[in-house]
Amino acid sequence: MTRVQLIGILATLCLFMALYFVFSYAKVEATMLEVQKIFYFHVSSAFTVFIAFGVTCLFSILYLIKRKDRYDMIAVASAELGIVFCTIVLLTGPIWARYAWNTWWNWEARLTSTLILWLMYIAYFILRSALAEETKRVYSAVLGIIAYLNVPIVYFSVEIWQGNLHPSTDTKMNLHPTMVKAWMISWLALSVLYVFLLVLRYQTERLKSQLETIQYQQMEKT
Amino acid sequence: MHKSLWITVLIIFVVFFGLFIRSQVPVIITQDEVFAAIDDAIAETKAQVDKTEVEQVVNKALEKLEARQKKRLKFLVSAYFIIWLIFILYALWLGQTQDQLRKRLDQLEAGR
Amino acid sequence: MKGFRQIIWLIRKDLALQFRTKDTLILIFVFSILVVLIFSFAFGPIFPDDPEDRAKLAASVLWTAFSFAGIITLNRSFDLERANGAIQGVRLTGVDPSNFYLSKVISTLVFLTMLELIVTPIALQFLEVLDVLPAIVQERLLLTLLKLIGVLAIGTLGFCAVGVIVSGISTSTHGKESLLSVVLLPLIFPVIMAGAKCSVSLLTTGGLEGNFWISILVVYSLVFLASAYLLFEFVIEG
Repeated sequence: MTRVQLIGILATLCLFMALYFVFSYAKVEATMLEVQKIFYFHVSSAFTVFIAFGVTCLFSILYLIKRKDRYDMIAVASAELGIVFCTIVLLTGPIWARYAWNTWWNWEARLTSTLILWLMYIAYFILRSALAEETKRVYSAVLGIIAYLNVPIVYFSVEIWQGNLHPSTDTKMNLHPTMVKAWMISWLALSVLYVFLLVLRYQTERLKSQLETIQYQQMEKT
Repeated sequence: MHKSLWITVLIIFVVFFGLFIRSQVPVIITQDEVFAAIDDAIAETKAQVDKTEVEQVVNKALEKLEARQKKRLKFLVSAYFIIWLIFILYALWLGQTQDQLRKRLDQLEAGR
Repeated sequence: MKGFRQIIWLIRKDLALQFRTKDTLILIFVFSILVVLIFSFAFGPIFPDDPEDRAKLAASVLWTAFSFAGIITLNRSFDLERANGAIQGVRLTGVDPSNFYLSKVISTLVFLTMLELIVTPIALQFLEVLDVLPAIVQERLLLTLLKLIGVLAIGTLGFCAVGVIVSGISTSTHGKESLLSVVLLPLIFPVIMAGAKCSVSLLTTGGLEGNFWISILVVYSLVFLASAYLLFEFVIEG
């Protein structure tokens, strides 16, 4: 059994443990009742998004300094995972909104900024696919850094632009201890899952570059 | 390895989720139990009320509660279903891409 | 001191290029007026009577027009640099990449601010905002307009700080200039929001009292000026 498979099994186990804690262990919340259980994975995904894009930014900086292809591969892999987790936030958010405020989309502050974030990193991939082979690594690293610098500004300004509908930080303090535990475990599970998918995605990127090198060598021969 | 593994994970998830949903559906309260409970309550509080009217109201209230919970569970289930679907589809897609890339690599290696 | 002279020369080169042919200037002028026209026609049937609503509409139209005009300007300006390897030519003369970036930001800023100076009064008249401004603003109309231009210029600075580096990247993809708008628009979201809020406040009260949006504009400009200043050498080397 390879190390990757081991992490995969660990991630799956963690996810099932998280499901147990979310559904059976955590107390049912008073106002949203069962629907509140969306919160655990919704918020944990949002946290993972920040970690993922942060990793992209970090490895973009490392790439610009050290110029090792490895770093670029990690940055790209992490950015794509960030988009996956962002998509989850964007899809579960409206389900919550539909129940709580009876609308699918109401330009609620944090959902709006997540949408902008999502668009920013989609643009990162659109640009990357259009760039020439010799420039694409450096350029996407530059964009990865700039985009991440923008994240706090976007969140801050959208938050102020809208009155805040989101359950704010002080209500989170009122969470029952069992809920906090379930939330922490969901976050842990999603982080392990993130690591697992990151390794998988990184492997894919390496295979791609290996293939490209071989094809390039063959072209040189003929 | 990938496809079968992920499908197993999905199936386990569905089973797990089904068990949860079953455990959430309120204990089926039969008509007789409701009547008996109302009798007891009236006897204990010695309230002067019309028994059949109370029974109707209580039944209606129970129906309403059950319908609301059903709606809530629908939201919850769809949210978690989407989450798992995305994860599994993404992992499946990754596995498939890797398999294809490996195949191409092997072909090229053999050709050399 | 040498760096400063370099920047001045590069700015003069950029502005001379822009004003000699004047085609970019005419293009973005006509373009901005068209955007304003399209909006005033589109909103024609539901044009708000309330002065405050009208000010809000005008602010958003102005910022939309200038963002798009800015994107066109940046695309054109970097096309000139990329064409025939002009950028390599400039590099060969030993110009510091960071100075090149600063000069580009300043020349684009000057260019766009001139455009804003001309278009803003026309747009406000077209959107019929000038006549319904509250009395407190009417009294100091010129001052308010100047302040408005000032806010637009600060916003444009933030726009250019990010725009120059992003267009430096996106113009290297040949024939895919439309990419710039996809990449740049989500990045300048805070600028557009903060700028529109400041403009509305100016048009309705004549001042920016208790308005912290202006500080968002300033912080944004500073953050991206500093980071892009450091990162630009990587964009030029490719």
